Amino acid sequence: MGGCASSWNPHRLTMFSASFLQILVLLGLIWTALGAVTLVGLLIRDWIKGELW
Amino acid sequence: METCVGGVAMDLTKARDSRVARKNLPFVRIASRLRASFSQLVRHPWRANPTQGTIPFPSPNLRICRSVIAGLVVGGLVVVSQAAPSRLHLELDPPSTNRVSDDGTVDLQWLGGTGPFELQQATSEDFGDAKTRYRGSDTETVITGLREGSYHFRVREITADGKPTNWSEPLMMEVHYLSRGQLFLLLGTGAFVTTLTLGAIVHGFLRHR
Amino acid sequence: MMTDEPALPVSTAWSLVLGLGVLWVVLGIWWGKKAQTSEGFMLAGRNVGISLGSATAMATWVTSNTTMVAPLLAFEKGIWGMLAYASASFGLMLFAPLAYRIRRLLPDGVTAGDFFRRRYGHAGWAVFLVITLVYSITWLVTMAIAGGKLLEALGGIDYVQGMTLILGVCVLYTLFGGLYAVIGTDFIQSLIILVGIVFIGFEALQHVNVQEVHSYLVAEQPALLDVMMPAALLAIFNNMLFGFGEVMHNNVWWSRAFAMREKVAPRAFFLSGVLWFPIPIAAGFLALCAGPLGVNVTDPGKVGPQVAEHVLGLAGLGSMAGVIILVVLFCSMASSIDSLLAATSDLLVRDIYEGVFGQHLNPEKFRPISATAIVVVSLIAWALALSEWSIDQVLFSAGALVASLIWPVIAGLFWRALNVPLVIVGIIAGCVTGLWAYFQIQPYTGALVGAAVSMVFTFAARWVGARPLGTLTD
Repeated sequence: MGGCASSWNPHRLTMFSASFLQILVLLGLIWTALGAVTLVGLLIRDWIKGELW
Repeated sequence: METCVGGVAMDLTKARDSRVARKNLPFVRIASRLRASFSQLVRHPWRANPTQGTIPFPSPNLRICRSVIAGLVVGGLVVVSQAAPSRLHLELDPPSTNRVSDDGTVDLQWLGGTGPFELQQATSEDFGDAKTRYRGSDTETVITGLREGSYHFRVREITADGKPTNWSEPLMMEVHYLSRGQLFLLLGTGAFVTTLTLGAIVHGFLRHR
Repeated sequence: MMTDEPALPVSTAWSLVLGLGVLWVVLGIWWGKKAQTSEGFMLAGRNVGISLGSATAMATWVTSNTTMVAPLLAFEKGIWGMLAYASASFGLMLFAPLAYRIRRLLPDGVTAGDFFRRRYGHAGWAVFLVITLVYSITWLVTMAIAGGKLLEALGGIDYVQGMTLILGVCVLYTLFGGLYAVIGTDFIQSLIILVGIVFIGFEALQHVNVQEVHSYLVAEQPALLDVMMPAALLAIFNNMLFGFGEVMHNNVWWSRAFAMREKVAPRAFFLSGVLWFPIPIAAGFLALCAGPLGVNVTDPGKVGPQVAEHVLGLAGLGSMAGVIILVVLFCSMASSIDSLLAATSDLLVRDIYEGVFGQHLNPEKFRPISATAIVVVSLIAWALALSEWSIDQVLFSAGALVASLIWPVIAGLFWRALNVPLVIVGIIAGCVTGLWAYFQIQPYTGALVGAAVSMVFTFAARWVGARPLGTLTD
């Protein structure tokens, strides 16, 4: 590894924006919720069609 | 792992190992004087034959004087030890002499107080730009997300009447990430292997569909 | 905030775990009545539909790592930590086309060992068995240890008792119900996990908004928001390949591919990956809220439950906070432990008992043999978990082993000609070099090196001394 001198200039780094974080978090939570809804919906459909297992 | 010199907190281990430091510690100076005084108070055997030389037993007045002095010294020590505030010691958790973090994470703990405490972080050695990172009764904290650079930490106790004690010896940490060249080598190799893997699966699936 | 005291009274924790345990065991006995043959016991009749298929694959991949380590990664590695962990879902999605091909090539297949034995002969089969048994049992042990520590931290239950309880519950319902019980309970557990994470996540948003979180991070933990965050990026492909190797080689997933209806398997695996993807993001977000909420993190490994407890406490749920967290974590562990027990014992029965020892499994009298295998696996795991040996290192180093199997699986399923001995040499070379890289270079290079070396040998095996590959039917 190199010495103690920094090889990264923080001013050149870009950061994830607040909007990106907002979208990511909301997407994550809503997507997870939709996952639960999807599973229940598919279960009902499989049950009606007799294709559970 | 490299360690950076300068501004490193006093290492009590080094102090204990240093004979010079030990001799200069106030308690050691007092103890050696007590030893010297006490050795003079011990009775030596009274030689039966006074002509072969005896150690003259101190006179009663001198004995009383020395006893009083010894008692005052011991009593003073007790008073002093109770009045002096316990020194907080800031260290890494687990304790380590490694002062470089390669992921911007610093795990700190402090010993020697009952709390509540205040932990400060600064980028300059004189704590001119210090900000409080923690205030509360816990005796450790984990700080993450630090960018490359040097960080100085110190902690103090807030006594029951709201008065802060002295700051602990500062602890300096250097955050230093993987070099850009090594990172891109890893990313490049990883992307190459992963892309080929994905390609092989997709190609195979399409061919046999 | 002090975190040393359990969140729940001991009696409450015991009641909760015993209650859930009794529920799973009763369901296991009920569903287990459907398993009249060994195929029913091991493969749930090969007729599992898309809802149960997707749920079981997703739930099995949600381990305590997902709910505990995802927040840890977000806390230490930021946005990229969350996204990198979410990429582990790609392994499930990529197994979809493999499942399609597996069902075509092995219509009567039972375990992943069947594939390795038929494609790579006894030598390849032996190498596969060593790798997969080491990995599977290690994974099982880490789950058992995590369970014991969870019950100790949340409920004050003694570690040995808690670990034994979690393992015992999973053994019982797997014993009675086989894969039917595993899949059925997985569905319920997956719903609990998803609903629990969503509930806690939205509750966190009631007390802190994302803009506040972002502002706090910019001021106090800026590296967590950096697009070029070296600590997060350096392991991203290594961990992705580790995930690929875990899914592509392990009988946990192959047994599900055999258990689902042929046309359902590919879609179910792809859907399970899609369902799993947001979970590390939702769980990881909690860790980013620690600072803005004023939660002092003393152990990054517990940042998820710690913040969850704080958030639910703010919501006025009091001791219910500990109940919710315990239930979600217990489900995430049980859904993986039962799958590992079932799949690993299937390997012992099919590949060791029948394959190596040449015994024939009577279709009507399979239960004692299967039960013995489940008990043996669980006893080994229990003994290792009891020792509290630092088995994490073994699991992480196993990345080099499982990643070495990625290309042999792909080539064995999709290619037409291969130099089989060269592929086997490549697996071993990948394992050796991967482990060397793990211990001598850096841990985050083990799986990458293992996969790369094995890939080179497999490519060479396609052109050097390649012979046409036959079908995989016996």
